[in-house]
Amino acid sequence: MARLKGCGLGLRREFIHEVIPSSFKPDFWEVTPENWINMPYYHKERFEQIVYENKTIAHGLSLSIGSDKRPSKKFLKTIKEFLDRYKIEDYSEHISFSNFNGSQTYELLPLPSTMSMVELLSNRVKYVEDFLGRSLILENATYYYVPDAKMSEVEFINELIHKSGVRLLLDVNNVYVNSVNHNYDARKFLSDLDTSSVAYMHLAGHFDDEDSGFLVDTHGMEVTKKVWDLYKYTLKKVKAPTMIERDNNVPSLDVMIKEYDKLKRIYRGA
Amino acid sequence: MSDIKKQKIFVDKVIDNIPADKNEQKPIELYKELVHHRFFEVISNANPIFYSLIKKKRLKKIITKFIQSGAKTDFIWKLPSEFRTFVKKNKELFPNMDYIDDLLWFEWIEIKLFMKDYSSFKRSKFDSSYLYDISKSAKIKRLSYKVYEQEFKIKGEYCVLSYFDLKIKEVIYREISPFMYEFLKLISKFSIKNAILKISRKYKLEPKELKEILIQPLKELCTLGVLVRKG
Repeated sequence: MARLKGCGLGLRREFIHEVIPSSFKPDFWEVTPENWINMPYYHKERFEQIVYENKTIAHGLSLSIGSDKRPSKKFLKTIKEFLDRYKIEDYSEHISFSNFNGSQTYELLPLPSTMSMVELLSNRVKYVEDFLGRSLILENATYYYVPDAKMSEVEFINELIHKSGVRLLLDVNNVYVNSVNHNYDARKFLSDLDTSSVAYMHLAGHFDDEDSGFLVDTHGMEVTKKVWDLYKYTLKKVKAPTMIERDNNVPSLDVMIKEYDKLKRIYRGA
Repeated sequence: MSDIKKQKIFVDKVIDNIPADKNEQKPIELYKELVHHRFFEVISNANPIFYSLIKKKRLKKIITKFIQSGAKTDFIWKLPSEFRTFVKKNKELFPNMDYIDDLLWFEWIEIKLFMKDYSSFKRSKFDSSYLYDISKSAKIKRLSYKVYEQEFKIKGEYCVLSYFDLKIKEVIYREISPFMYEFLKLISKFSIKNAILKISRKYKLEPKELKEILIQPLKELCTLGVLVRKG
């Protein structure tokens, strides 16, 4: 299986039928298993053609690795079958939880940043990796609150990386959003972060929600200038494969290609 | 306090089981909105008729209760199915909406049929000597209200056929007679010949005449993929 490299784009239903006629081939596609395990059948042929002919990685939403209970075997089996069927080696998820006591919120919720949580996550990483037969990649998530902060975000992530050996999906937009919301220096965060474990990076748009006073990680608009600037800075520290996520207000493929081309220029120039 | 306990308190605040402390109201409020928005978006999009009948404010309150009741599915597109179950268990939230079960069935079945994999689906030609069944691309249901015509006042016996049309890639519905509904139920258990015999006895009809009447609709249902040959 080819190593992940270059620049990628999130494959979305909104433009899946535009991909093959456009001849657009990013270095890799990222797909969300939960959105493709069941799909309207007339998307399936296109989806399979794209996934089989291109390097593809998976980025999940429902693993909820930090929950009170470990991910169910039923769920992991479904994910494994999907990854195996489409020969996807790289599978990423989030440092967060989204369900508790078996009930779903469908939102990435913040974990207590404690050593006991690092311990729990490390055990879960091993459990998931053993089940899926592939290594797991975890993303630094956005958070607007921490149930209990015994250490800083960067200390928590570094501890997790060292303890579990998990590779990191560094979401540069999330670093920016968190730095503004929690009033810290994003560049200092990146300097303190153990970037040796970065498997790949995410870029996405966010929303400045004046009502709540937070920047909200919506993935519903283009990447902002400040995030592009932070990305350029990040590339000086770690030149890892990078992709653009867009999950809401998904535009036509043409628009996404323009943003992808911008990413590619910056990535190549680094 | 253990991590789990802290997480439980946090989740309870987010789903409105307990109030947030004063100093954390803003972030908790944001999480409430984010969680609520996901549920609201799915339920309102999946149930456009239901949503048109209920005020946004009321639906928001209902969804808060739905979230508190605990949605289980890992796959958010299945949430409307869990919402149906929630509604069935919480009828007191829907006074004067006796038609609600019928309506939510009708709206959910469209999604369910839409999301099925028809890649290897094969239509059958009609031949009365074979056994037939209702295909996975179709559902029939006896309803008490004509929810498909947005008629919610007159209670009666209304039968509907919903099916995924492979040509236009959309879910189509049509009203069928209670007689046809009964007949379609019978042919999933018996051969065409025996089904005709059974129903003609019940309605005191001539089997030969009945066969002549039914052949054309059955052929059409096969063409549409609603009926498929068994085995």
